[in-house]
Amino acid sequence: MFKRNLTAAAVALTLAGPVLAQDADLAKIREEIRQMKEADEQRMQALEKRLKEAEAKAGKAEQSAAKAETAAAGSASRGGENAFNPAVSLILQGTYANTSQDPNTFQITGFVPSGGEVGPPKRGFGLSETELTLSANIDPYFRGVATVALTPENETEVEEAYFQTLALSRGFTLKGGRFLSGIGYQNEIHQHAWDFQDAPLPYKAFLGGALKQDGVQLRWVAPTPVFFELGAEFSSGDQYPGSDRNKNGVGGSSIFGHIGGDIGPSYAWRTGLSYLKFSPLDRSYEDVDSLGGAVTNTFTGTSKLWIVDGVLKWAPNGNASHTNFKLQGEYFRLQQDGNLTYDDTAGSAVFGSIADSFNTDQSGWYAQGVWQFMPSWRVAYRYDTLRYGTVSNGIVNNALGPTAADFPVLANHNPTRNTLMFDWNPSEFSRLRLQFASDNSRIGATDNQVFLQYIYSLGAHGAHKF
Amino acid sequence: MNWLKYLLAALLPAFAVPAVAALNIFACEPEWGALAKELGGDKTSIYVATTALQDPHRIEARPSLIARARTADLVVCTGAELEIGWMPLVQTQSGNPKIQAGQPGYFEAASQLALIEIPQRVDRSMGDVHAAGNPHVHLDPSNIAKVAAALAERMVQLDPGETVHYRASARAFLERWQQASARWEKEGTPLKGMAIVVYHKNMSYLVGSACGKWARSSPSRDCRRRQRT
Repeated sequence: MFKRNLTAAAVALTLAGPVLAQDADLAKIREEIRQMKEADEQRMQALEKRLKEAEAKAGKAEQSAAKAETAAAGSASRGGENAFNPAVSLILQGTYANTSQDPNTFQITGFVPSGGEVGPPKRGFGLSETELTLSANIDPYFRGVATVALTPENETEVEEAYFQTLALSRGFTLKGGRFLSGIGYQNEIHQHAWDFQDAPLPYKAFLGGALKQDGVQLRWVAPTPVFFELGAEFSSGDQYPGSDRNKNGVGGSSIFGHIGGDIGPSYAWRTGLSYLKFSPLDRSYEDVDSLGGAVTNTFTGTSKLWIVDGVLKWAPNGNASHTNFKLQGEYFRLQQDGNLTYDDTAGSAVFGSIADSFNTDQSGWYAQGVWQFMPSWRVAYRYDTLRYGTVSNGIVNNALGPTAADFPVLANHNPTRNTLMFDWNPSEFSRLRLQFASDNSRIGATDNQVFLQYIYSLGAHGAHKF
Repeated sequence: MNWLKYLLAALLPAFAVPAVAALNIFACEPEWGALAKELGGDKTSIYVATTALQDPHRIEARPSLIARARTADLVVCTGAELEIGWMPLVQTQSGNPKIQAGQPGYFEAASQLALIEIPQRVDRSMGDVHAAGNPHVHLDPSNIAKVAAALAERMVQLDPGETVHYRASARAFLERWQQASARWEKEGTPLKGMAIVVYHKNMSYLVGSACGKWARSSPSRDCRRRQRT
């Protein structure tokens, strides 16, 4: 436009050429052209300035929009008194059970009762424990976790309540409170994450399901490419195979070590050795004598448990989404040395209270394989067996009165069990399981069990324990 | 007892402590491992926790990850809850105070970026959605540039002795990345406006956040989701 104006003016001047303009007119025209030029330039500059400002604003708008997005995302979890709420998750589970034997008569014959909830679930529809877990970092130094189980009998049980250090260096972690012991492999896995509805027989017989320690645990991870950890626990020792002792000092201790690693991209393994030593004082269990009267047997001595554990996991190229396989097994050996007191004063009152030495050397193992053959579907098989081994009951051997028939729980028997399981996992948070078992825990009776179980998890995303 | 000597000799290499490089980096996904390699070069020793053939949502805190995290100086992950199933467990079990949440040794790429597809409302009925936004950030070239700059500065913070090297590598990388990005944009112009079908929502950053509708046959199975853009 500027050029056109100038050209127009120039043409006008040229056409008016022969007519001699007066000097004043010429000067006036020159002045006008100069003013037009200036005005055009000013307009151009103003336009350019406005364009630059607009671009800058657009850039800023983009940035602030991006910031607003992140701020909006952040504000959902930021600010207010709820900002530091712990992660909360709730497990809902229940079982429909069909058993050929009465669950109330369940016993693992040949083995001192472990007192845990180790029997099959009640027949028919039954609610299992509802587990509430809260966890959070407490400060840069500590983390806290609590798992509370609400039982169908309307009791509240503290499964785990512990703190854990975050800031110890050199590979150390200290845990304190109540926690699942780090011995073995399955002991540290919560019940709702098990691959079967129930615990393996060795866990039921030797640890009452799973061992919880009230005490401290120190763990050390070696700075090596192969995973190597050592752990030691000192506790009150009042869970089976220990007892509540009312004594100063350490009631039970354990030490364990695990080694693990990868074999290529598809295999991961871990194996370990654990040793547990408890010193039960007046640990008692109830039994029935040969006349049907109630008997209380009390053991005082030492219980030493060895566990060898191993797990191998396979997934094609390490991707467990579609298919994967897990093989796990553990071998247990329990040795108890001490004195047993037989007391039938509350029942038949034939012998009163008799005590003598009591030594056992028993073992057991289980092996299970779980195969996810397509996304969401798994099948698993487990074999458990317990070896009666040697049970040296001084009261019977030294003919002090009661005979072997007065210790029916300790009858010579090698329990075995076969279990087959199918489960459907529509997502990571829901599971429906159908389980069949043929259980020879009781002497002379086989329990054929069918369970249908549901397990649902709400709230915070759980951790994928190995 | 000769067999014991041979056994120890055979086992000892397995326990050999890795050669000390200035910075031990544990990368959660291969893209961050590759980026850290570009920025760190031979001043860093990098372990990548997952491969491109593995779904990072399904990884477990297996022993080899815990062992490698134990000796890491810097952990580089995506964040935005992509590794929520396993990384927190690896952190707490590693016995390594440097890589805990909130420490400089823990670097989340998603924290450096503006995420897209942040859900208005989060509910598991929508499937396993990510509350902070789409975590598959590495497919947008401009995101890589931003993360590279931030990661280089974090490396400088943790290993100040090699500041010059990290900053120079970052500058060189960003220059090459700029040129490559321009080239890719040019090569991608014929694809503009094309409709595509994707297997999972991880392609959003690559194709731009202006995506079309989801066609869902089942809310919880991401393999049946379709995205057209």
